[in-house]
Amino acid sequence: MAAQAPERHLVGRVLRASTTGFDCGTRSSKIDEKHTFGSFVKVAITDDQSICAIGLIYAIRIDDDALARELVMASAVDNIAMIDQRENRMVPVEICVINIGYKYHGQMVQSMPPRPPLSLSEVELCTAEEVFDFTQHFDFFRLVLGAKEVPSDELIAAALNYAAGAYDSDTDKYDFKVECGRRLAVMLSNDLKRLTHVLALIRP
Amino acid sequence: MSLEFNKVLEQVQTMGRYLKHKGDSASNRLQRAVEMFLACTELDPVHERIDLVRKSSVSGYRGAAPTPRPYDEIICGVGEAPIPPQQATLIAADGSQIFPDVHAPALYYLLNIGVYTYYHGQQQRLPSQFTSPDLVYSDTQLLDRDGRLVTNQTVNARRSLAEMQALARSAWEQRGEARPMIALHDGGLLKFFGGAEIEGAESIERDYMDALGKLQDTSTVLAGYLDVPRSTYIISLLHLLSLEPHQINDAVLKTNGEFEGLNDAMLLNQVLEAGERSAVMTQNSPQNKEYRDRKGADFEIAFFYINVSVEGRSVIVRVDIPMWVARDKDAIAALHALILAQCAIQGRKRYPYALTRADELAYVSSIEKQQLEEMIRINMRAQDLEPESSSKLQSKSLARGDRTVHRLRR
Repeated sequence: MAAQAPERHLVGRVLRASTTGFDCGTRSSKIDEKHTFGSFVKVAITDDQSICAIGLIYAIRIDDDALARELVMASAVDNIAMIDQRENRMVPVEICVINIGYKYHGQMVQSMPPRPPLSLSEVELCTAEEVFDFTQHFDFFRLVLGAKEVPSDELIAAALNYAAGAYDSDTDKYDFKVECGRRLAVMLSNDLKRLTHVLALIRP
Repeated sequence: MSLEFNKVLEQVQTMGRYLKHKGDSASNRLQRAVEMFLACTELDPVHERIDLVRKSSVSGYRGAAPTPRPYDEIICGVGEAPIPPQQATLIAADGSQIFPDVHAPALYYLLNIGVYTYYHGQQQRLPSQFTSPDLVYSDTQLLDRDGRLVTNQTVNARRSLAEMQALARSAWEQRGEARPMIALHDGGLLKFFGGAEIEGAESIERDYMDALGKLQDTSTVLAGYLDVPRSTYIISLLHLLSLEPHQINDAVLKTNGEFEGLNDAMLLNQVLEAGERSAVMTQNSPQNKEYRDRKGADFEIAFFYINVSVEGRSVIVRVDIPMWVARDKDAIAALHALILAQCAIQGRKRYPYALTRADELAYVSSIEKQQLEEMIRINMRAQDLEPESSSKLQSKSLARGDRTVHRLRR
């Protein structure tokens, strides 16, 4: 009997990209728990899927337009217009991702990917195994904490809370967070206010 | 060089003063028109006067007339906002086009029709929508009988026809849906397809009338919606009523006399409260007579106005309906109520939501036009054809193009 392929969780498709990160889009009707701030996502950067960029969702944007603004101004939002807005009108949800590493023939590397993904490449959630493998090292902390234009403190905390879900037992989760706290304490030793804030966010 | 605003500023200021003066001078005449309108409480004198201009040698009267008895309504009468039906099906159609352009890679034009159906009262039901683009490139449709490129008026006429045919088709396909079934068309229903500049005007007119016939066959409540009506039908009627019988002749009816410069919306602004509608009337015109003569009395076009505002400044719109709808009081009440319900969806913008969405579906943006022409170029090259290139257009786009900002990139 053939092994069952792992379930794929499509987040969206790449709209624009660089080596530092990428934006992907999906329809507003498709937005769900896969689109969570701090989630680990991956996207293939080669045709044979042997290299995947790995990133963190750091922003989710839903653009408006003049019609949406007018609908909001109505005294009561019409339910049919609301489902029409969400299902029929192609209101895109944009998900912004910062690259924190890549998977190279199964090996996790915590550095910028060698090249960006191409437009319309499928962006998927990382599996629990991939998140577990990736978080065995902590070099990606520096990429996140040093990133401009992202809420880096909240992002690292959200990512670590998300990653803790990939650890089986409560003890493993606790140990993972404690180890993360130690690494953060080293990196943010010159900024105690910031350290205190991040530690509070990931406190087990 | 772009528009030099310092040079146009003074002209804009003068324009503002002119418009203010025009408004001031109209206010006294408007007051008189309102008084006269409110005095039109009897229908018999109006019918008599209309009979006079229809039966005599006078042919220049283009104003309003009461609908035939017993469906006629008192001219100054108003209808309050009715309660909408529990359920209804609203189909809206709109179209847009890319006109033929000698500077395009190949000669073509495009019609894109958007049809949107809103299921009123079915709160969880997703509205349906579809578009039907029609790329026209064959010489038989692109060139007129003299071998010249068809005019933009021809393309517009074909688009109007396609809109009405799409409404008729959709009404037929959805004939099992909730009633009343309202078909909303963006614009008036009386179309003028005549004139030398429209190629195949006769067949367009015939097909248009056939589409109206199909809508009647499905018992559809057809309505043409005019957002900013500038019509002067009622004003012309008031002018006609202000004349003594011996004064009535074509020369006098060419203008609206003391009411010249006023329009129906200005008048009804003073009369209709929020949500109210005017009386249903018809327009006295050779075109409307032709509609009646061609297909029968059911196809004469009537109209009424609605103040679609909720509060504050009035928003007067005109609704055209065929006589088969005008005779049905329940259909008019449902149409009136559903138009108000549709206008309420968009808050401040008092316009039917279904028509907004049909327009959105049909609209072809300039970017989409560029993409379409790129597809045409690629396909022509695949057929070893060289797309036509216009030096004029290319040099214009170079000069009009965006500037690139210098940025340091990571």
